Amino acid sequence: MDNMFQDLIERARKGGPRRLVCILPGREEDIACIRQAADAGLVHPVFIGASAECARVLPAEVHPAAVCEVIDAPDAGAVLSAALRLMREGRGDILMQGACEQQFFFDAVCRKGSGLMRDSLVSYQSLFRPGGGRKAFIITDSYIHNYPSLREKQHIVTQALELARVLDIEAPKVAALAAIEQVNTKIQSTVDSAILSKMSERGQFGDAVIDGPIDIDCALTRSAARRKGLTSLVTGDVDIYLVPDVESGYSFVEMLAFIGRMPAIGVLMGTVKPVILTVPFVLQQHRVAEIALASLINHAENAQ
Amino acid sequence: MGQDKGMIRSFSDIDRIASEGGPKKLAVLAPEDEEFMNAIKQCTLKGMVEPVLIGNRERMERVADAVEFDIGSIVTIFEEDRQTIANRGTALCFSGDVDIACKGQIPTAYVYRSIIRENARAGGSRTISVISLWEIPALNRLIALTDTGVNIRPDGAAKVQIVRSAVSFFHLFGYPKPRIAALTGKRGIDGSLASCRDVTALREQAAAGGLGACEILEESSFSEIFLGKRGSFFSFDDALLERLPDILLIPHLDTGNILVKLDFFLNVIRRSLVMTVKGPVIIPSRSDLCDRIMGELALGVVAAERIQGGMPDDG
Repeated sequence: MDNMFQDLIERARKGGPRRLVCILPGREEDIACIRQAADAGLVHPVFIGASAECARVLPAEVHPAAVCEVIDAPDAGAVLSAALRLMREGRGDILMQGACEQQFFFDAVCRKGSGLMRDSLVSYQSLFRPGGGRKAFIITDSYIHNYPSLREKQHIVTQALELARVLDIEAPKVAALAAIEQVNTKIQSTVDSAILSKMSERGQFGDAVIDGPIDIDCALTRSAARRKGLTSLVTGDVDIYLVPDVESGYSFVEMLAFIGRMPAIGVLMGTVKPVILTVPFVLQQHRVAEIALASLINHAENAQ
Repeated sequence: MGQDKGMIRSFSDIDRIASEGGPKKLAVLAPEDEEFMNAIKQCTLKGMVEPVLIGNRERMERVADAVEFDIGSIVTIFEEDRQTIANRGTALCFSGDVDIACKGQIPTAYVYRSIIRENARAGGSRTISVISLWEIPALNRLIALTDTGVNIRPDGAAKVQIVRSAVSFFHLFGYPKPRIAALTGKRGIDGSLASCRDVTALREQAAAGGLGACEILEESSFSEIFLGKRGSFFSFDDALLERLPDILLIPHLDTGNILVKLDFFLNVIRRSLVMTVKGPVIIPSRSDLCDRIMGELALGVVAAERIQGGMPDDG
């Protein structure tokens, strides 16, 4: 379990290199991780940007298979449009935000007609490798939706289960988190979690167990759950933490990364092809594993 | 005044002061569980507390017997109704008959209801909040997360009261000008969160002196706290724990519950309390075991001791 990121890289390598499109390759750290991913046989990089930016990258130095698509237009909008066109035309398998301004990038990806949207919404899935022999887990949605509705949470959890399948997690256990483990109609998260739990019980999420509302102490330890009189398959054995909203999710993943020093990677789900966002809580050295994860998702999509 | 007292940097400081300070009177609301009664017993034997037990006679006697706690010489008030137990225990605290109240096997909402009413009657705020302290081994001071237990979705006005209570508490514990980060979900997309607007309002209020001596930081996420504006995360060594502020203001209850209980996951220890204008109220989680409850009682004893030495601000 502690080698999970390396295992992801190994699995992705076996599937063969993916064409990774990086927009505006102006950040040294993006180039560095793409070079590593290319050297590991995970990707054939495609850099897309203005000529000055692309000249700085020098594709041959990054990797012999690297190419640069030089866009003469100086503005980021033209570069982004060209990148999306590449993806639509099947000339790219993974899209990477690069140095593109995040809101601008995100809006363009999610716009109707971008060609990248598969579902009606996207979610951000953070994958943690806790170490100490403990199993990896997903936290979602940790970046995109401010206050997701029940319908949106249904999509978010479905996308998390899709990621769990890519990770070979059988019958994933999902803790639908809330502040308390009882349903309180004044606390929307408890109501949403209870409904998702019931939907799971009726088989609406397939081979998975979603239980909620569950508070975090019950989710993390079976003994705490026992003290509270809560019996559940999920307690103490969670694969996916579904958070009530982004304020909970973002602080949760940041706290694990910065205070808990727990390695994390992430990916945007719900798109036709995987999209890698630049987020602050992914350690630079783990971004190759992030590319590997995106690559595995792309392989899985192609296999369907 | 509290500011003149020594700075409390660790839970071992708290345990030492609580043991040395002599017993504080403690109203115990429904001690009807063995773990909980055992914690009361241990704290009584250590000379930290002098309990007044309020609850169902048969259940209290049964669990006292189970943990071999002779309650024959202890003041007991037999009462069945849960809300009445909460009201009586809280009233004892506000009348000054006891120094601390502590919730046992009784719904938390009942206790909060009693505290809010008594606190308002005593001239305090109608917004009460839970202050949870974390001891992080690599950090030579305590940090607080608040509100972690009462307000479901506090608005800007409620957050002002929550901050005032925490600032007041930190003054008591010897932190003259606590630094505060109001956490939000601020990130690279969709910055329309109400909590982001609250940060601006709180900074203005703090600058005008309306929150007591404190500083509200511009940073409102752990990324900003640890990485600043640089953004990229190159090494875990970048996350210097010294950068953590003294107080983390939580945007709402769901977030508070998740973050504060990550002590189950991280290498930190947690103790919590509610500060009122008259004294601390301890609200252990139903999942807490004896040791943690004892730690929270020690925190209450020290808080009561410091309040009696002078409350710096209106809590």
